[in-house]
Amino acid sequence: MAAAAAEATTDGGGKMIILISADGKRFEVTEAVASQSQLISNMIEDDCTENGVRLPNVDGDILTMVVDYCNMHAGDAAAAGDTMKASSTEEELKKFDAELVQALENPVLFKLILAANFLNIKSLLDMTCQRVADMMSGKTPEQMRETFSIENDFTPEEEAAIRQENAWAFDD
Amino acid sequence: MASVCSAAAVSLDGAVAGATTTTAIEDIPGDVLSLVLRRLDDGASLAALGCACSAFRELAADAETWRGLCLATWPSLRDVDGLDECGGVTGGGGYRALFADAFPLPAEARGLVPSSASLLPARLVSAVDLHHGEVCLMSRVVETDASSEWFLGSPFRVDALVQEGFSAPAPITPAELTLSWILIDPATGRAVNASSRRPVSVDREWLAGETVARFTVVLGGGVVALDAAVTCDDRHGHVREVSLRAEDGDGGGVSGRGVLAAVAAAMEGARHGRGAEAAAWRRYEAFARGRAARKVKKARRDGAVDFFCSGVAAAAFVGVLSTLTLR
Repeated sequence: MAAAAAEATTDGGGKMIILISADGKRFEVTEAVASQSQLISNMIEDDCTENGVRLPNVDGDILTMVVDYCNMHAGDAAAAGDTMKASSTEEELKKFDAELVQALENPVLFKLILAANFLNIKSLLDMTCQRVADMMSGKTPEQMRETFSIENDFTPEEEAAIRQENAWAFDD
Repeated sequence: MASVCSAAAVSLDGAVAGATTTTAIEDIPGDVLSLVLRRLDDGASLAALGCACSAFRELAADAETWRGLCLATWPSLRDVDGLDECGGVTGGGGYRALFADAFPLPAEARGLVPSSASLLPARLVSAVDLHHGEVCLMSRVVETDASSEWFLGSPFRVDALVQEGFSAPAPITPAELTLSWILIDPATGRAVNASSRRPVSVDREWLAGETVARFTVVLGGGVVALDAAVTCDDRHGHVREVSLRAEDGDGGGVSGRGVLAAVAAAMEGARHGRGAEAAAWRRYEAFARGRAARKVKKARRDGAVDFFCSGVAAAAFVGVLSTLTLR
């Protein structure tokens, strides 16, 4: 995945772009794949991508996932025949998406959200946000704190008042 | 062109934060977290999240998120005039307060008298949503003028659908209906849930060829039951009638005044928590048992009176006969 080619060349269709993660890993992807990120799409329009795109706040591990995701989903976005990969069927995509977010540890999931937000990949952001929302669903305040390692910063009085106000939502 | 590129480079470098250390939910910017919260499909989770810490309390108070939740839960609310204004009346709580009022089932109220000086709602807005499985069959708003003597004196009844009958996309199984019926007092913005959501009973009425699903909720310490009912046509599998009536403990009707008092008390009273459906179910069963027991007792008393009367009549008849023959 981490292509070391310094010069991006046209290779079997679209122009290639190099993405460089915070820890210096390099990823070579086609323009069609990369432009699912609105941020990179804008940079491509502005011709700022010749020397590779440095993404100093996205780790290599996270960028691997993002690139995988974009490769899988390139079929949706790119014009027909432009991508090397035959566009995957919808079912395959769904399965891939579910597997991608299902097994993630919290910190990785949050990093993926931050990356999707930063790179401005709407579908990935939607999917990861939905995963967090699913994790929140049906939990009590204590379970929320436990699940997301949230520190309770209320004073006992404040907490009593808030719990009273929202008792309908979780008390038996 | 060069300036654009350098600007982009700056923005890329400027956002280096939390990439190396472990990432917590607090590291996610507020605008992204509110995207998450808008994806929550139940208000209870949103309210519970707001109790976790002060940062989430602020996020979970977002009016737009609650508005979305309310409209998704009760599509009929779109048709309630001036809801945005009347929601604001409830101590600035808006849609969040409306949800907390109308979503949970009302808890057992102590008395029938509302605490604030017998001020009964002058208008009652019913927001009615009927679902069959996932499909929304009907969303309707009915406004009732609750101040007239006629309304206050006669048995309470609100109809959301009368003898119209509309076809559902697929034939209806009454047991799979879910009915939401919320009563809103537009003057105060307070609301109460008047339906058990899932049917508490499904009765087939052979003669009329229809099936009635009831969504009864017991209010006012078990004295008044709000009896929302959906009548389905057996032959065509469509909904014929959706109405809200009230019953007292003896199975008799309740006047508009009595229902208003119970509803106003329930609006001000507490709400049930999570185990609500089970508790409400037990309350309904107790109510139904009480009603049945009273019916049996009444029948027995009536039977005794009948027996006594016939006995007296027979005795009188025998007496008359014997006096006639002896004479």
